[in-house]
Amino acid sequence: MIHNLGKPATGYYRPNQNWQCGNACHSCHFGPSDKGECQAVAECNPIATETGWKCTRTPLLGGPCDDGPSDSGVCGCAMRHCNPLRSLRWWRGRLTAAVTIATIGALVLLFSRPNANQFLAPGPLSGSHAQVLVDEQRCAACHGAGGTGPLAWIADTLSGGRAIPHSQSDLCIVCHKEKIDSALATNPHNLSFDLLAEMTKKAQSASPNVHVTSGISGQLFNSRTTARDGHAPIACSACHREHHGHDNDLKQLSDRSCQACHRQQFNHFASDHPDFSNWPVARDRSIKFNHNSHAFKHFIEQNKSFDCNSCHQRDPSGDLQLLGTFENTCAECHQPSMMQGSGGWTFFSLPMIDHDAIRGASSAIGEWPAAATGDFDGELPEIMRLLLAADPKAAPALNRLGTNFQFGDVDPDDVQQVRDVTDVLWGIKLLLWDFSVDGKEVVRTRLGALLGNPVSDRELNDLTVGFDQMKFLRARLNWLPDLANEITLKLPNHNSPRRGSQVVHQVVGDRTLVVPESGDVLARPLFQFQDDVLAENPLKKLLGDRSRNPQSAIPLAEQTQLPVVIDGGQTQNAIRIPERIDNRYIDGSVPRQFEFPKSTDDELLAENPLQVFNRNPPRQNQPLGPPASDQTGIDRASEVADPSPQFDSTISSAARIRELEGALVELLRNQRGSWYQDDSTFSISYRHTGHADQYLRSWTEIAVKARHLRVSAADELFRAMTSPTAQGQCFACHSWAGNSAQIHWLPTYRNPAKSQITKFSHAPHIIQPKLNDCQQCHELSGSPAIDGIVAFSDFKVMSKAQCVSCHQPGGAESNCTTCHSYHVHQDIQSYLIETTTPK
Amino acid sequence: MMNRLISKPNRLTRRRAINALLLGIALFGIAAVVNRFERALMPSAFVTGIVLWLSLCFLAAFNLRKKLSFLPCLGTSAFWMQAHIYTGLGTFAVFGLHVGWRVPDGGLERVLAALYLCVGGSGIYGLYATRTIPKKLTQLRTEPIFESIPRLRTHIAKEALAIIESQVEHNQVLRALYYRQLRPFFENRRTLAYVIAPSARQARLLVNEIHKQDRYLAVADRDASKKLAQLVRERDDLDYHGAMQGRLKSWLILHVACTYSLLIIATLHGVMAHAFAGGLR
Repeated sequence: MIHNLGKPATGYYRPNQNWQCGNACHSCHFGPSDKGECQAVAECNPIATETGWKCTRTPLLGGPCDDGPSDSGVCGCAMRHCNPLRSLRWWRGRLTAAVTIATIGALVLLFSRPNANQFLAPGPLSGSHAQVLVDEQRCAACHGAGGTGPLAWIADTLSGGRAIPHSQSDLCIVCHKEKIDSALATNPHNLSFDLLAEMTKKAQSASPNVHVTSGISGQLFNSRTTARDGHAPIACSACHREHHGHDNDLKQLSDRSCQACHRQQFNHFASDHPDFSNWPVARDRSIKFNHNSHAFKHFIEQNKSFDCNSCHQRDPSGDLQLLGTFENTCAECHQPSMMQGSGGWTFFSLPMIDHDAIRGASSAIGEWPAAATGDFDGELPEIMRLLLAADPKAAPALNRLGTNFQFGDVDPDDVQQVRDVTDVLWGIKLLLWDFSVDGKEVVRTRLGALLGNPVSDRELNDLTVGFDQMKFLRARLNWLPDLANEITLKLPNHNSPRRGSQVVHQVVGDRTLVVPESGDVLARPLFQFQDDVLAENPLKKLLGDRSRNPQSAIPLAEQTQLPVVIDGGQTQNAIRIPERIDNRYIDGSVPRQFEFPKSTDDELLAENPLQVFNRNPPRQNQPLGPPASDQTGIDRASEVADPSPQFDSTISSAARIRELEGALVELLRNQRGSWYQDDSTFSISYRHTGHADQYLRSWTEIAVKARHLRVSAADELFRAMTSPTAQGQCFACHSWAGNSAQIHWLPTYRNPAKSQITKFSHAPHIIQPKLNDCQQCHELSGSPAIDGIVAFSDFKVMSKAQCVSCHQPGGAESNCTTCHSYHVHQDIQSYLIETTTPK
Repeated sequence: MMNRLISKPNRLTRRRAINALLLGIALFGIAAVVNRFERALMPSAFVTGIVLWLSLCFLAAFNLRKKLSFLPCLGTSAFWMQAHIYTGLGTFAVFGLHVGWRVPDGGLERVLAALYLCVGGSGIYGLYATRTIPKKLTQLRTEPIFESIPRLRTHIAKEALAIIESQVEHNQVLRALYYRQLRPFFENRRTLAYVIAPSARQARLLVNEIHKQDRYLAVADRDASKKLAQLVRERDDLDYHGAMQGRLKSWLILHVACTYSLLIIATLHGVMAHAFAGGLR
């Protein structure tokens, strides 16, 4: 043992002080001073006694020494002087100070460097935000503090975040405003709370097997049962955590993020997710196609196989299965039936009237065709009824007579009813007058007044496809030749809709015509045949319709010119009514016309019946089009100086023209997409072209729009268009959005550009050959499912088990975000887009 | 451990159990708050960060407490030591929650994490060393103060030289052994390898070498041989003390030296985290 060696093991050590004794052999008990000076002098400090100096050495050093102090009182045991050493504690303190100072210096140096943010940032940005790196103020692009300094940071921290104005979510929207509405950016799902409440209510009612705890009415979220208050705004960074590296997927969310708000907690799709109660069949469908009746009845009757791919085609992305066009899928069977029995849709007609009853009611109707007199009879065409509703005198009379009033129902003994009928009859005569004078502008004026908003040129063109003003003028002159005088006498202040000026009388032959003081049509000289008009075969249009491509059957700029003779034998003037036939869809595409079977009438049509009146034979290859005078202002007749007129004056022009006119009318009557005048029934009708006829389509839209606007005068039109026997039977297949006037003329699909809460893409699923058979997932219910106007699917509800077979642990992904999107668009309607399959 | 708790817990065991229970409760509470924040899509890092920063301040205040020992209201140093130990242990869990149990991505965050791990790791080692090394040292034959060890080494070297020069003046065997092997051992410091991993192997070899020379020694000289062997053992014990006590002191150097840097960077990190926080404010 060391102490057994007779040497003291320890001295007086001071590990807590900065200095230690530097004596290598023995530590003195004095130790160094605070300044590191050795204080060792002697082992004791002798004290004076009566007998001399006494040693006071401590027992730790061996007690009083043998020699004792000197006579002068100096200790005899002098200590060796040393150089004190720094203690370990001192070195530790200095190291600590050095490290601290080095840290502060490094931070100062760091902040002085321009690229300090690379080190200060909590991590590299994700690749999605790489464009921020090109900005000099990188941090400021996303952080309000990025444009400030350390003092502002401290102030912001101490003030609880009030020193820096812009939140990070505000700055996120600066770049992402195109996809996310800034006003709703921090709302759950970017939807208004009203819409969320509505969707929740709908989800709860549609999914009774989803156990939703009762909470605040109409709310999706409840802070009592979930971690988050459903009304609390959510910052972008709550889900999108940045600064976790270039490869960090900002859009990858955990299921837990979804369950922060949703009441029903799912641990896993396979085990906890409720089964589908209405997926994917709850959505309203634009085209009401009954798969069951076609698969199990019609196709079997036609001895055809029901192949899904014959009607559905994959879109380029593979996400959607698009529906084929009518022509490619339905026309073969449905176009003939659609055309059958379509003798035309009466636009205007004169009813049978009872003159005696009218006179008995002390009323007068004036001139009326003799063939249309007798007892009250006839129907009031739906469109005419709607237009009469804009007549200030006829409208109240119609209201009193009832919405489903027909002339056959009139009681001749009911004076008031007869008087109301008389008002309606005058309205009809006035309508005919307006049509003959103003043409289709009457539709614009009257519909605009009824619907409360103006009718655009495009709408007017669609509503009057192929409108032939000459037919109305001719009808007026044939049926009611004295109408002009009657209008003048009965309604001297009546202004035609388009012209605001008074009409004037013009005597032509034995007739007094009413023409405006200024105007473009009737102000021209009447009853004058022009050679170029006569050179044009009016039947050529029919011939051309048959021979040309259906899509270009009726060129937009083509003008139809029909000579009309209104005066017996007087062949002075011709009236050119420019007729614009616009049979296009809104998107510019032209519906395909149904091709009629060839007939033996071609030879007849090729012959110009008017050629006999022409003094100038037609030039070869003369193009169709408006007369040169319309374009250049120069009368073509003066340009063509033919010294040998071909006019055959020996033929009775009036008789010949009437004969030819009758043949012409008969031909036009059979032409699709045209108007024809029937003198036997005193009616003017339109015969539609079949599927996608623009005229039917436009008036159907007007009927739905008027109903949406609660215009009662259109009820009869709406009823007619929605009846099973309606012209074109549009609503047999097409539906319209119940809360708007939008008719789904085209199939609707999910809009990939605007995500919905639930998403699905066929693309990754149909890779499997087995799933190429649509019925692997979409199983027909086996029963018809057409329900009124709004159609629901006739497929069985899909089962979750179909998905779980792949989407299970260890299999395909089954996170919430696999099938659900968080960011959805506020406009639910925009989820759907209308499109057609590319031909 | 359980037997000790159940059968007859002593004061130390009870204290450890109570402290561990309190620490567990505190951590459970923090974890619950963090879980609540995470479920609510709120950044829990602010909660754990504030807890962590306050804990660091409290841990660093232990040094201040030692400098203010004259203030009785601050509690006993033993209490502070226990609070320091258990708070420090608890910060590991809070730190894990704060960083999400992963390596941070940012440069400053990595430096901060490294500093924390240095301080915390040295503290953990210090806790281990102060609980295990003294037990080993008390089993030795001497208990020298760390600061006295150099002097005792010198003293032993002188003792050995005195034995060689006085008692075995005419014995060339022992003299040769001393100058060849024992003198470097007595007069030189041990290698760094020995400081890191102390071993009695060299001392055993020397003692065996001394005993091998006994056959060449007279009976009177064998007493000197025994004394030299004893000095070798004492020197080895002294070196072991030096290495072990050096460990007890060296961890504290790292522990304290990094503490203030940790606090500075943690404060900077907290300020920046608040200023640059994503969110709605």
